[in-house]
Amino acid sequence: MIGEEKTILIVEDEENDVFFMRRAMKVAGFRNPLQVVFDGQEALDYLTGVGEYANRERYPMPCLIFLDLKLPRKNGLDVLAVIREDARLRALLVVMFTSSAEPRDVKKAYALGVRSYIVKPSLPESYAETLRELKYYWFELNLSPFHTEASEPFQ
Amino acid sequence: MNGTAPTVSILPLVNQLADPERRAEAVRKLALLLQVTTFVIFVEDRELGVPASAVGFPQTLPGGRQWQLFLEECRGKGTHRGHLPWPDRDTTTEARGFASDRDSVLVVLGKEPAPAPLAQLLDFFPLLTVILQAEQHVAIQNAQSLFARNLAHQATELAASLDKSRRAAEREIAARKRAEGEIRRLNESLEERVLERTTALREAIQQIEEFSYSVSHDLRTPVRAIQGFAHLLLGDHGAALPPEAREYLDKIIRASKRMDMLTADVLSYARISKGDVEIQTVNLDELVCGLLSERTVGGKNLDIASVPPLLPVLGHPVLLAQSLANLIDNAVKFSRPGIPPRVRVSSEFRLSGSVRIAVRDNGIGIPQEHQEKVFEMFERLTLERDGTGIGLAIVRKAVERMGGQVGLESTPGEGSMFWIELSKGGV
Repeated sequence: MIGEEKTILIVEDEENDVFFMRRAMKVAGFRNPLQVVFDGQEALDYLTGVGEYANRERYPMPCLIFLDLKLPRKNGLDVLAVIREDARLRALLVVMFTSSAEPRDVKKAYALGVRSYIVKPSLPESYAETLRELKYYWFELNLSPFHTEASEPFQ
Repeated sequence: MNGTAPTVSILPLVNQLADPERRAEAVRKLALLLQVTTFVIFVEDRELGVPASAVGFPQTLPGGRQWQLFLEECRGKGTHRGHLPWPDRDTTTEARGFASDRDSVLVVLGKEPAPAPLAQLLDFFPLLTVILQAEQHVAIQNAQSLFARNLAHQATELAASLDKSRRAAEREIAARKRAEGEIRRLNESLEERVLERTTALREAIQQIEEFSYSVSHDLRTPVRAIQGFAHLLLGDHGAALPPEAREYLDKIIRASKRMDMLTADVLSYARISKGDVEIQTVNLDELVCGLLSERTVGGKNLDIASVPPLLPVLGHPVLLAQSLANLIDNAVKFSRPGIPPRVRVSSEFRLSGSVRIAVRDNGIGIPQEHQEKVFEMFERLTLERDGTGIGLAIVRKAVERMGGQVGLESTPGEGSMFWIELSKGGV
């Protein structure tokens, strides 16, 4: 699968959800390296290369970000807003992955340039199913910058 | 004139008669001279249109009608003799009348008057008539001027009282204006207070809704974790567990599922309560068609159908879809054992001009005493059915937000008919 060597960044403060996600991704057949940060500020530090995140060998730019909405320090919408304002980050593929189905949250997220909005499934089986669909869409159906060799948009 | 009788001039008495103040005395003396009871002179002034009256003489005559006839006789014939009621209506007295050329009549009451004084009196009679008529004239003028004075006085008084009532009215108006101003000020401050209270209340409600929203939201996370891990445990290690442990796990899964549904429902209730609801014409036919196909997808053998045509209504598509979905799902869920559910969605115009959407089922029905309560939050009538007790509260809230009404008719053991009434939609 093209792009499976690329890193996926998970922004999620709930350890259990990280567990379910990791597991579901395994079940769904993701082979991408996973990076996990636990709040919005850390996510921005990672993306802008602050501190230890300056080491791109260890912390490569992600090809896909799963972003939770409710997060400590900076929430998901704050993170989206910063990404949108930063020319270096604007092309990042961010997928909202949250338990909130609030129309208000959905609207705001799209207004801030989110690429997709997924409501967290409640059962492990559905988790795996959802991630299988996501994998199919983002890595097979949809043509993304990371599909072409020439594109290294995040350097 | 009778030459034999002692000639006493009655001129002084006639003079005296012309003087209203001494008239009564003159009448008495002349009557004595005439040897009669008394006499009356009637004066009529046709020019002034004044009716006959005994000026200066007894003002009230007994048996007025008889006197009137007597006077007419005198005027017609010059003289007349007869009997007249005098001094009261039950006693008649001999009377002699003599008319003058100016329609005055002298009536002498009593026996035959002495001829000489009578002749003298009759000689003076025309003169006396003129004097009495003049007197009457003056009296009338006086009366008129008195009347005029009275009128003027009354007019002044009227003007004064008008002025007084005008001033009173002005005072009243001023007082009323003050009162109105006061009321207006009170109203304004009342409106302000109501507005303040309303705002405070709205804020409180909003806070409660925000609270229930965030509580349910935060609750969902651990609940989903419990659910998830229980599923994993059963799925990955179920085979290694003794049957009793698997049973416990099942119970954990069911309980957490209920908890998840509960929080989801509280969330959607809170969501419905929040925010503006934009009312628009909803194509009920399309909406119900969608709901029904969702429920029969995959060849599920459910007897649910709509009774076309469904009328367009004014509502909110999402809220209405959720309300009808809840009603249809309830109708299916609360079926009688052994009797497959049969659900019909129909609509009709009401007399009020609104549209009633009815969801009918052949289910267990709801006893009369519970019908009021089913729309309350957390009100559940049965323990064995899945449910959160929020479904119908959501329906009611959603319909309220769309400006409509909900209700039901039900017969236990036969079925229920839940209805939603909304304004009719445009074409």
